[in-house]
Amino acid sequence: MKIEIQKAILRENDDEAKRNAEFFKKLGLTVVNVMASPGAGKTTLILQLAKALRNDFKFGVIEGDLASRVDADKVAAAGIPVVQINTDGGCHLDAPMIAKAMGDLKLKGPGFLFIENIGNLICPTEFDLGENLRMVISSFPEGHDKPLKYPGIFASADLIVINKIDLQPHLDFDMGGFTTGIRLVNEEAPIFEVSGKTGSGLSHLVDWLKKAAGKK
Amino acid sequence: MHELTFAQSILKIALNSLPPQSGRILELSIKTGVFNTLEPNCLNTAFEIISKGTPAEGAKLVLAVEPAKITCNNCDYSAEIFSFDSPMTLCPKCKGQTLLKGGTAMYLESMEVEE
Repeated sequence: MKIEIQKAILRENDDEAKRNAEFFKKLGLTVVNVMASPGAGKTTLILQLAKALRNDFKFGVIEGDLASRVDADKVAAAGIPVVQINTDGGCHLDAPMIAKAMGDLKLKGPGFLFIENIGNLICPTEFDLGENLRMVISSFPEGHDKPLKYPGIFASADLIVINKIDLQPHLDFDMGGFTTGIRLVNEEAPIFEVSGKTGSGLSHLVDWLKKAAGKK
Repeated sequence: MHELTFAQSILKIALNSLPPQSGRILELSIKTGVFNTLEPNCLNTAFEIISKGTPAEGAKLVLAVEPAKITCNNCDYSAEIFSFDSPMTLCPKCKGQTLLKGGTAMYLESMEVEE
């Protein structure tokens, strides 16, 4: 006897993500899921964006790492409300983890919540957190072929940031190849060339994020 | 690499979908998109372990790939992609930029149950 089911395998996470999204909407928060390899510059960029946005918007961060409070401590030292999630080996954040973290993060909008996901170009892709925007960060030292090697995460991005442009003169990075690889899987996501260290290119990213928050 | 999580979820959905007084589950049909990182052997092993002692013990997992669709921004070329081994970044017809869409599904389609 055949029984039709047609149910998403990750429906429990998806349902929790929907509840998170409703909660964030009630709080007036634009939520950005920040995904990248370890060392691409997620925390540095989040701190730079906080500096640029916090005069006009409330700003909070959820940090995700296997272990340690290294990133949460940096964010807290900048005076930004932050909660650190340690997954003890888990390779991605999921919606229930975010729901739990929001219990400890006293943040009300209008403003931004940046969720720094585990450094990983594979696993975070499949787990919706209830975010409004997925920001995928690649960096010049990682090379221009990452979109071809990790298509899923680039396909899922609402915006793509290519960081550490200050190092470009020292590298053989083919920007045309990088863009072609992205456009193969993602027609619309804008690509921002920035340096989290020098601040180069950040104003365009900040303007885009402000517009995105306004559209919500 | 989350095959245990996927297997647990598949088992939970299957058992919740089982009508009362049914026999064993014989087969589970799963659709997974070409962009997903679901590895069949790992999934089978994980499912074998966690389904022991349940009506799903011994059930066969039948995996079908949901393809992505590749189109050309410049001409009418289109095709289905069942594997991402050699992505066509340029159209084989006119060398225009290509676009891949779809191929992200992951769902339990149906199951075959002993009468």
